[in-house]
Amino acid sequence: MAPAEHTDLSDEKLVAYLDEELSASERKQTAAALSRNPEARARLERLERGGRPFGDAFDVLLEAAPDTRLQAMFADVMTKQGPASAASADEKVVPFRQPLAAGRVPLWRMAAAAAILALVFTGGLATGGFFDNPQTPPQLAAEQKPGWREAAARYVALFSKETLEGMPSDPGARQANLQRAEQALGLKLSGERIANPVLAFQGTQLLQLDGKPLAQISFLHDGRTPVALCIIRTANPPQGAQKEQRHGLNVVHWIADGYGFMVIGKVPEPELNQISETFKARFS
Amino acid sequence: MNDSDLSLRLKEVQEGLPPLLKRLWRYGLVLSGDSDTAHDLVQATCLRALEKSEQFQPGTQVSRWVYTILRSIWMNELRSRRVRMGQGFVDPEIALVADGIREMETNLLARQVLREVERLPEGQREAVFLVYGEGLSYREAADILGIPQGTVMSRLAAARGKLADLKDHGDHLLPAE
Repeated sequence: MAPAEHTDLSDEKLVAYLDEELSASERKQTAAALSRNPEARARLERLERGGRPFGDAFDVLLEAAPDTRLQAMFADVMTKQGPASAASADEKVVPFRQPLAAGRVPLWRMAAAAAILALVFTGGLATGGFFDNPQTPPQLAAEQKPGWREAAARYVALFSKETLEGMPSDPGARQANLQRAEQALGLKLSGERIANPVLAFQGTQLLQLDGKPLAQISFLHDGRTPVALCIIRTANPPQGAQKEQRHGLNVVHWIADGYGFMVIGKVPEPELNQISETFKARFS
Repeated sequence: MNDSDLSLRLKEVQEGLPPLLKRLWRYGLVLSGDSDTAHDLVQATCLRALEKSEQFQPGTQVSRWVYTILRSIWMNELRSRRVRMGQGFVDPEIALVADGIREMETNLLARQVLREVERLPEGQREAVFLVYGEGLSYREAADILGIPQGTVMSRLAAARGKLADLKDHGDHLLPAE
């Protein structure tokens, strides 16, 4: 055994001593040296005071992890990895899972297929998130913002009253679709929250853009005009309501609490504003 | 490496990932201080791990390997990108607590500890997380961080020194609620 005065009693060594990372012989040697070195003992006590119930504290973060959302993301990643999607375009909107009426392709699905083609050919769309495609060079936040709205607007523009009438109408299926969107987004989408006095709820579609869930909740306004509330997660900061036009449709969009919202439809601006105000209040 | 080797590796990675997602998210949160970024990091890590599954050494722990991937994505791609985008870091001192806060209201001590950990410099915070939060040995933590074991020890010593001072001098050093 080395003489006590030559034993390393650095802070590093003392932390390893506290953490039981020393071998049995090192430990014994360190303990012996400490017994003769009050200065090192004082440092040891200080390092001990710097201990905390770290494990319990970090466990709390584990409990806070969005498990459902993570599992949904993983399922999606696995789908993309599959051989069938070898040619998977990075930037297209595709339905996650399509509730199918047997023997009949609903109109809204055909609209979806058309939208996919449109998007594949335009390409180059960016999304609100900055990490969906790690291979692409970074893009400025300002360039990204229109991305998801443009993608969703192209899709919504293909909707007609008949499209919506082709969507599942039984309450069970509607509820299941709403819940699926709720889970994928990690955002509460109860019937109350999406209820709007001037709109008739028609159904929910869970789409994806760059692997990112995008919910489209469809309504009929005045019994004939499709209106959609689209929601996507975003890393962008909160932003108040803004207006724009896309594909002949009026749009009101805002960002709150990590979500981008867009209300879109061929509805006069003042009425669309009012509709948006109601949603905005429900999701704040 | 033949095809069946490859598919075995892929299978091991595919099956190893789902139970790790929450832990990966937590690591991402500790690094970035932001739950969205943490989510993006987990997603990118899964994609990368599946793509590179041929590099996985069968018989070793999937968790260590994917931690290394997550960390390298954070260091090489995301962290700097956030800075370039002009957002800077989301203030981890607030975000780390805010994200878990709903679940945490009953656990004041845990919250206090996390607030203190958030104040540590990134290198120390990460060492504290891996060793005391994940329960890794110094050696394992050093491997993930790509630094010598002695550096892990000095980061832990520095972190504990700071935390001791916090205890001695009281909470006034912490940011206001």
